[in-house]
Amino acid sequence: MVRKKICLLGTSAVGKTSLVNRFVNNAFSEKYLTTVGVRISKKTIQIDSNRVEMLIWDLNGEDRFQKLSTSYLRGASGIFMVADGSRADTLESAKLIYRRVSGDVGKLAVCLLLNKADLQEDWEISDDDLANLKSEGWKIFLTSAKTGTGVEEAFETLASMLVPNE
Amino acid sequence: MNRIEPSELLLSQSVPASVLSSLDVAVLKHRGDMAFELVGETPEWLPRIWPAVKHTGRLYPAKDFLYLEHFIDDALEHWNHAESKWLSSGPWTEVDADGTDWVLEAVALTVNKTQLLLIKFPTTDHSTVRGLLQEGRNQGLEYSRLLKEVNKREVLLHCIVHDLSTPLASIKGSLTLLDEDNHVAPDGTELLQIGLNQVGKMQELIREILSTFARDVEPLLPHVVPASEAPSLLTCVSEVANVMKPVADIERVSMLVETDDVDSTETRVVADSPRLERVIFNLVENAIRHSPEQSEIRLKVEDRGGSVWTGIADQGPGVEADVMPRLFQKFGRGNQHSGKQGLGLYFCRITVEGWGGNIGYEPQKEGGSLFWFELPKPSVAMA
Repeated sequence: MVRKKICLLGTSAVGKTSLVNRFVNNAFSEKYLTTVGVRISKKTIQIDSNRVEMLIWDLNGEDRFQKLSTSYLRGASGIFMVADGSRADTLESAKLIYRRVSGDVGKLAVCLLLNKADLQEDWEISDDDLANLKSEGWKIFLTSAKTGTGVEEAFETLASMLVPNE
Repeated sequence: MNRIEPSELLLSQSVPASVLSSLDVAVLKHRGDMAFELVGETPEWLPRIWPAVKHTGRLYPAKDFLYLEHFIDDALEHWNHAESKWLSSGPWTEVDADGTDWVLEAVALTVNKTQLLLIKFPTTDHSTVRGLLQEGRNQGLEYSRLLKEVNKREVLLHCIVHDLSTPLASIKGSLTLLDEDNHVAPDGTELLQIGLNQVGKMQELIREILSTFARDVEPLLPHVVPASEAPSLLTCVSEVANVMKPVADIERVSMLVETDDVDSTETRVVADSPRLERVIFNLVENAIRHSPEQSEIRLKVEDRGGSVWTGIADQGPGVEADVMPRLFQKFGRGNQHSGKQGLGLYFCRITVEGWGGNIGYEPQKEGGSLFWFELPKPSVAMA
């Protein structure tokens, strides 16, 4: 079995903990409870012939109240940058955080999750925006921790980027 | 009263195990090879998150706590090359078998060459910290939601005014010209009057619809501002700068208002204070969001005779060239996605243009962005 540490990063209230809760426990709560420090979960999935134990580090959101310690990223193999698609400014924050952590810990496998995809009426990321992000090299998933859309696919994709191809 | 850190006690003197247990701290002595044993009594809460303590004297926290696997690497380094008194892991959340969250902190320290690992509740009252963070973030989310709603409503109002009022005014003008110049045969005059009356009723209807959306419809409509009631652009800029200073401080950005000794009474413009401040607020907030730490935002106000000019210059990355043409359009946000819902600059443009002014963007030679707008003075507008 292969063991891989992945981290979820992004500004506060974008749904990092909810995404983990959906993936690990297939559960969702409407209640927003801010994360302090780190919360670690694990889940084992099958990628081709490899069993991958994902150690999922859900880090506190970075904002004006709390800064992210990049020491939490040591030993990580992959990163999810998470933004709230109904608040476009959280996407800018995610990119800024990524720029900083990639400078500190080097290039890691990374996927961008545009979460809260169920909030179609409030969605602020246009198709042009998505095209631009893709042209910048981002691997993007539209996810909804509430409905489960895209969540499993995103985690499995990141896991498959971390294990050697058969 | 200040709480005494257990690590302070351990460092300062030999402390009986009973005292340690009363501090509610799990003290683990490193026996080598990542194996530990508990010193003193087992805190009551420890077995709930670490069942192994009930069954064995030899404990492996790095195996049982995913987070400590990470921290004990640091702890080993600290024990071997201690440069400070102790090393804290920072808070982490552990979930027990009942699904209850336990926020904990680990501390590594050396006492009389003995390598110790403490597991304890964070010194700072966690529930208080989390409560404050929660409250701050909830308020931030609510603020974003309200701002979005307000901007949406403003845009809706402007769109209604633009899309309905302008063609109606044109129809009314055309009908009036037909009427005044006697272009219509006598038997058509009655129909012409019916048309004019209906246009008038539609204009009144628009006014009523707008009134149901907001009380402040009047500033959206063409207006003449008496000089005595016109707001001072300089005063508004200064007030917004004061209001935004704490935000800028948090982002470590300084703000400077340059006035070139302009008299505030000479900077009265065609506008209303709340909207004018919102325009400036949007531009300043935009500048703060794009500014790197330790940079400066300069707000300048210039009296240009018949008008007053204001510029907000930052030292951020500037606007990408392909975005510039649609910067002030609805949802004209660029790749940087930092304009919230892409309505802020659109709101600024239609508001400033509604007052008979101009708004624009210029990249600065030395880097960064300059957003500016220029508004007529009321005496000029009235002429």
